[in-house]
Amino acid sequence: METIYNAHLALKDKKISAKELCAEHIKVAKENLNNTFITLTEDYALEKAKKIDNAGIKSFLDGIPFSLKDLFITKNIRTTAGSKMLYNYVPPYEGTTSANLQNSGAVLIGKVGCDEFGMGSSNENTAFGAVNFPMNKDYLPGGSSGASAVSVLEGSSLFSMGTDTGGSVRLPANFCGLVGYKPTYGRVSRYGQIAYASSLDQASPFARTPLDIAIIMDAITKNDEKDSTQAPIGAMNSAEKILKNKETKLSLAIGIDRSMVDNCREDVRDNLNDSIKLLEKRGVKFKDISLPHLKYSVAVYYVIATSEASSNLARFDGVHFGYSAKGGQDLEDSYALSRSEGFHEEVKRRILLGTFCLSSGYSDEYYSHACKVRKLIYNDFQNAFNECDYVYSPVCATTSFKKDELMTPLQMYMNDLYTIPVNLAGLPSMAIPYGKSSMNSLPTGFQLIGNSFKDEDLILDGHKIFEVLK
Amino acid sequence: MSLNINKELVQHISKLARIKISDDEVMEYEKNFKSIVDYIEQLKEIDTSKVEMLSNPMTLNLEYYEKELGGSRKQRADKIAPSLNVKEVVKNAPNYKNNEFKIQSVIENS
Amino acid sequence: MSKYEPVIGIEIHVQLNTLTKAWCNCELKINGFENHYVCEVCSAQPGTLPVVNKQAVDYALMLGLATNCTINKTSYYDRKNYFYPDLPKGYQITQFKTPICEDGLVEIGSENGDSKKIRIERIQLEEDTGKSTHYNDYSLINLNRAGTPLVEIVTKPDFETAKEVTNFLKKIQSILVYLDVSKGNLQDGNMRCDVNLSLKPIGSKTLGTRTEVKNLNSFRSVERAIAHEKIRQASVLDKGDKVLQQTLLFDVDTGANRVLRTKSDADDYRYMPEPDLLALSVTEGQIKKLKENLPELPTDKVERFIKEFNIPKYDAEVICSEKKLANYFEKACSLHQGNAYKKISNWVMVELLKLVNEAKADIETLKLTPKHLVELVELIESGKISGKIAKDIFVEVYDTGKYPSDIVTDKGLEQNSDTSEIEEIIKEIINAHPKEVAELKSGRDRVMGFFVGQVMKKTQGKANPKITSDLVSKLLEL
Repeated sequence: METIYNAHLALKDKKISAKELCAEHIKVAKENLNNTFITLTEDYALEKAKKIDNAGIKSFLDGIPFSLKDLFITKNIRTTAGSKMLYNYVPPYEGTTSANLQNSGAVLIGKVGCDEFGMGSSNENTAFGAVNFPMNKDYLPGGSSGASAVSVLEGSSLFSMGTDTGGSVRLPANFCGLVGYKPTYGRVSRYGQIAYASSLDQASPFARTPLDIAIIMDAITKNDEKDSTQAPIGAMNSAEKILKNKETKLSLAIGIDRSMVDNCREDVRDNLNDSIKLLEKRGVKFKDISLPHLKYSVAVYYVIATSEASSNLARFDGVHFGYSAKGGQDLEDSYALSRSEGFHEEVKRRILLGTFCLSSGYSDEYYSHACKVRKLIYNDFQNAFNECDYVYSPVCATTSFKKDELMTPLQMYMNDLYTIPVNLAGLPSMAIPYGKSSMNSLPTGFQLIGNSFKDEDLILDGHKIFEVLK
Repeated sequence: MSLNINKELVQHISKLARIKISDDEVMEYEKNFKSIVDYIEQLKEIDTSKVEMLSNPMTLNLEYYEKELGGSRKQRADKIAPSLNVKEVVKNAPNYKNNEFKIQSVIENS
Repeated sequence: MSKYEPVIGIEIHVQLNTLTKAWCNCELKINGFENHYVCEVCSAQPGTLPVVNKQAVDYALMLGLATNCTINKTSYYDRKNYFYPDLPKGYQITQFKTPICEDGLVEIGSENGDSKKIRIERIQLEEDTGKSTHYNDYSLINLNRAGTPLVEIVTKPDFETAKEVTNFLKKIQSILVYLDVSKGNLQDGNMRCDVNLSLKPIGSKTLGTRTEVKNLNSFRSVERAIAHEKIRQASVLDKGDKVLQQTLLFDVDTGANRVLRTKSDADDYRYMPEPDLLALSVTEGQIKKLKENLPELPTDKVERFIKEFNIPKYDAEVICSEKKLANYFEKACSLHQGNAYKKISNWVMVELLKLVNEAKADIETLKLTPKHLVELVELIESGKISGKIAKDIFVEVYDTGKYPSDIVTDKGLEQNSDTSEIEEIIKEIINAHPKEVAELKSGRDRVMGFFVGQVMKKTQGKANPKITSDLVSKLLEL
């Protein structure tokens, strides 16, 4: 029953009530074995579940328990961004993704933790304590949407919404053996999603299957007049397509740069090569492609993302909301103290880097130049898509890493090497789990990258591939 | 412009960013900063003289607006909608007085 | 002082007359109850995004068309990053690199009566900040004004005198009101003007260092600030020192400009493209439609009034300087059954304006409507009352709204054109003033005025002055 779809069938057949389903998940949430939740909304959830029971099960998401990464604004429900800066912030308005999911009948169990403001790959950079990895407590679930992944793994929700700016959903999905989906940039509204990097962020769901992903995506892709950067093309209808699909053949052309797989750690490499062989047997034609500018992705990302973040986080000054330090000598001093005390190290580092990249004298050299390299990366993918339907890529060269594995900030950034290019180019990508590591038994997997606005095709083909590899 | 990451630069940036860095912290920040900026320097080997900036991927997907909105982008009609209740506006403010945000004194600006 | 000549450019921030703010649907009510016209977007709550106000864009385009600008079919929004408590996002959304309008031209009257062309460098869309009120040891912030749509008009440094600057400001104000794009009032803050001034030795081509002067809330302040800055900079240069690139505030009490801040690193605005808004694209069709529907602009109206009503350029310019005044005049002319337009214009420019300015009245709500004015002029034209009587009753019409014809009837003010009656009175006066008769007969024509005056006195101003002087001449055989 671990999937949305199966739960939906059970609810429809009255094998279980929405209230019972909700209670089951709340129980796990309350046990809090993994320090997943920042804010639990027990009464709120039970109320909603009761209402759904009374109204009856009509749509796929009716009565389905879910969690939201604490970067999603929920009206009147505390939203912290995982940070001391917003420790007690209670939004006066409703965010679009939260509204879309709840209006579709889903039941909000609570807000889960994350790396502060979405900055991090391990869910350790947070004011609310690191999240445990249920599969092995010596390891980490990845980040920044680590707690979202864990909440699905541990059974406190059937799906969770994270945000993916440089891999923040695909990486934890990959580490946790879940499906993670980053939509085309501009497919989902960003209104009500606390901004990290405006031209890279997208709301991205975690679930156990691509069908579940489809159900979620159909609900969150409605056109939102409040986001100018969202394409006005309206909600997807991908779940129906999957359910109606009878085609199992995979006559697809998939581009691959084999060196990317070869450069992975051997346990990951072996599993990925296995998956490639299996897919070839089922009709996939793998074509060799080259993405020559990919190696610059991390550098480009850390200029652009930090530049945008340095601006987006300027509103946190302790005046209109947020943490306000005591003891400032004057206003300027108060600003500096509030931001210094309210933000985690990693956030401060990135704000400083971004401020530098935009500063007078350096802006052309760093920011503008990085934006041009970004175009070259985008062009690399477009060249690949001239000959292929999709691009196959690792998500991470290793599996999850250990808690005590010391990494410099730069080494940490390199974990995102394969996920970042996708955000830079604004493409959709599905992280698909495959196999377990021969070294540590932890999940491995890959990502399937599509061209812009080919989300429905990608979700359908991702489903077919998932079924083949299961 | 040749780059010299040093204490002065870090302090200048931290002032611009309104983030207080104590003297003990400066060294750590300087070190991390330097290693990241060194890493970023590799971008200089790429010739982008004939390349356009890409600052938002949607600029390359404008046809999706053309299709739906006939060429215009998402823009609002000039119609008034209710504002937030004033209590909601200030409820998260660290300090407020008579519905206005309250802060330490500011020197006069125009 | 006269060693140097000033080079002046100005920046004007204009609050647009839209119903809602630049990026959200909050009602634009700057003076409403504090923070009652604020939403999550304009208070910069986390997770919020801006959406362009179509009307604000149209207004900017109209202003660009009215000032002969090139319209950039694609323009871009940028962020100007800085920290200030009345700027909740920590950045202002503006147009730094590519504004919506560029390279415009506005003609103004110059010192010597010629006209001068002032070049407009750019017109850009941006937003206003909130308001801060300062107390002893704290300040309060009200965000009602935050997010108000602005256009910033930047001129090239084409001004040479303060008068040119105020002429330009008045011209822009007039255009703004004509287009109904802004109230354009310096006192109310709908229009704010910053002056950039530098001095250079007369005849030199090298520009000096310029300073920026802010806080100019009236045309008079603009003139005083420029005067003071010229003197201040001249004395710095005379000493052999360098003028510092500073921002100064004009102090209306002392008439002096005092330093607000010296240009420093703190002014690094870290401009970047606004990632939450796509490029602003304007179509040819959109521009065409706006052009067609553009209200008649002051310069065009002036020309039309000159042609249609045969009034001199000066009159037309005075009347057209204010849209409401022009409308009043035009309405009056349309009601008039003759072509005494010049007379109507005189009444409007002199008597009417005098009362309106004294009372700071609204021309659209006067009791003395165009109909009243036309009636008055027609009474004079037809000889029913004299010009003097008309002047006398003017104030009463203005105050009460009574029709001039009614007042004339009630008070029996009809001009007396009865020649025999007037003759009798003239004979009396001739007999009583032999000295003046002699003077008049000896050629001192001015003395006619005395006789007419005396007759007027005797008739309480009702005698027809022309007929009177003719009769005097006749009786004295002049």
